[in-house]
Amino acid sequence: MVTATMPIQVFLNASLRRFAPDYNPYQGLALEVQPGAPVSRVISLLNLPPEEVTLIMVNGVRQGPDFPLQGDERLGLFPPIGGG
Amino acid sequence: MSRILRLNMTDKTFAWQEVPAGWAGLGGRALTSRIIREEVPPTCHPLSASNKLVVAPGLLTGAPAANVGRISVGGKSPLTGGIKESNSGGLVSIKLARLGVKAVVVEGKPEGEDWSLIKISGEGVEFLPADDYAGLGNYDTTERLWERFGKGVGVMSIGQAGEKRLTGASIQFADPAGRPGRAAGRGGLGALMGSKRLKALVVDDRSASAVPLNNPEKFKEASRKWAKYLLEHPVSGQALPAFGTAVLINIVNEAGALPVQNFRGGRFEFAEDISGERMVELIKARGGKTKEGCHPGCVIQCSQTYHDKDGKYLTSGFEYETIWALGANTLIRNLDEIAVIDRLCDDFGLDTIEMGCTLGVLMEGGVIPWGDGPAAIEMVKQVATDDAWGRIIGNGSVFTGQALGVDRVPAVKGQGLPAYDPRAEKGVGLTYATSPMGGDHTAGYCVAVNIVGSAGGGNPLKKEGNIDLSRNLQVATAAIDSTGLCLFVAFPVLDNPDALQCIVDMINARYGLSLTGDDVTALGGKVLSDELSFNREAGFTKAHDRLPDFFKENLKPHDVTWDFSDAEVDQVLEGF
Ligand code: SF4
Repeated sequence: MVTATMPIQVFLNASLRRFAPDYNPYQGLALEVQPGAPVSRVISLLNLPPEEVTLIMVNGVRQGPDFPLQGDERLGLFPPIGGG
Repeated sequence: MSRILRLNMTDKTFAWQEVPAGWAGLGGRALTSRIIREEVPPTCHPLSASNKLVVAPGLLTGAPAANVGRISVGGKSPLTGGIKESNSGGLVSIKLARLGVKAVVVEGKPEGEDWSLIKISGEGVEFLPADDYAGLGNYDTTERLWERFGKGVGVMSIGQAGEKRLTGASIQFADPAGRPGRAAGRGGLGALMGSKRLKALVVDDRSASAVPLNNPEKFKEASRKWAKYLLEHPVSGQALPAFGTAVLINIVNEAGALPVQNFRGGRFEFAEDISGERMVELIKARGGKTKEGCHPGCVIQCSQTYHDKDGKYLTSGFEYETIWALGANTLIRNLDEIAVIDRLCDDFGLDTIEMGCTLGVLMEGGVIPWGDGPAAIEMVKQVATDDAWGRIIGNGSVFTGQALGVDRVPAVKGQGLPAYDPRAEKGVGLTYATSPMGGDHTAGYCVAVNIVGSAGGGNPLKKEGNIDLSRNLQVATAAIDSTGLCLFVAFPVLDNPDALQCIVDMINARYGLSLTGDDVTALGGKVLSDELSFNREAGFTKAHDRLPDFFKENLKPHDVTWDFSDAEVDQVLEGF
């Protein structure tokens, strides 16, 4: 049986946007993943250097690169940033 | 040897004082808070002759090290009625340190209506008449003072808001380019300076020599390492200079903690329009500068110069907190309109966070529509006039809420809340509730850990761990604020234990001491004790350490509420 893929919405931020030339920050990127795929899979699908993605948010909650996606999530990817 | 300079505004005289033994190891916030604790009656009216305005460089300021040129400004706050330390960049701090001035204490109050300007230089101290400058904004004031006293002199001044003694008034500092874009913004200290009828303080260090170092070799060694730690850390070395602090808009928005429409939601539909990414795009397209230091010696450079659409200078030091307050909080989504308000605030001498909260309350009360930038600009312009609306909004969010009968006012101890919703960033919520400064984020910036993930990370949505986090960061911050270091050094310091040791090594080499990291932490604790005991005697009780009731409402997208019990909140600073 083939598992159906599930849509996720990916938002790239700050310097990570240089890896997606026509990136539209209002829409983000729509991707399909297998349920259970880790965030790191998305990072490699998008050809982002994993060491530059230091902050990952799945539905607004900080997670690690091994976090398994189930589909329909909102994924925010960030390089090291800070301020205040 | 450094000395304390006392400026008596009652009879326009000054006096030098040797540093009393008890103040010797203090600088910055530790010194301003100690002097206020010892010399200002906690129950005095903040605008009365009994209150004092204290300005102090940090322990490391003036020494050849990176990011040590910040200044602490203290007094009894006209806004909160409690003790206040407000921290700023600019040129004054380093120049005072080089002139051997450990602190300036502005005391008394003149009988007459005339304004003064005080010049401190290697030649001495001069009281000069300043009626010619009265009514001027900080931009014109700084420009004229540079023309008169020479380019590059340190300037600390108030605008129309401080002259009118409005409790939302800031004190502005000229940056290295001569723009008054740096602020000791919080707590209405501009009104305190205005009550002394002191329009500006000018500091000229041209005849000064370098600050003495007890052990120059050791200092050099430590300061070299220090700069390396700052530049190596990806946040202070790359992210802050590339996007400024406004890079936080998208991250705090993603985390669901960006307060929207007077703290109604945690995500802003149009966050991208006011993001650091967008700001940098506009700056580059219009020929501004994306990175700039607020004082000489800053290697991080989170500041910037923002031009208008015609490529003309509009504002500088355009920070995350400002953009949030005047943007997401009011639903204004046009960065140029936000920049115009920021410019007006710097010019009139108004705290941008307070003004953002105030505009939110004004919209809440139906005086101007949500998201209406041009209407907000017109309102803010009234502050420089004698219009009653200007007086109302210049006095901040709580005053405006009272004037309008609005009960949704985001403030603690009278001070408007900054750019993180306390329901979705519970750590900083505890800081808002308990800091002796009133609603303030810098006093215990849990965001760095909970949202940005420094020091191994924490959980902003759950209560667990946040009581200790807020407490520990409030103690550590009180210590950092005493050194003259910029708070953004916290990113490398939280992640790298050697960086903290390096700060201690620099202090030791500067003064010939043998402090340990624990001594520095203990200093932070003493600062909090001074501040909290002042506040208690000023009439503050546990009931003042509470967030407004409406934070019990549900917040999207995480469906969270402010769920700490009063007893839990009271644990945060228990014992100080
Ligand atoms: S990092 Fe920013 S706030 Fe800190 S000293 Fe530099 S310009 Fe000033």
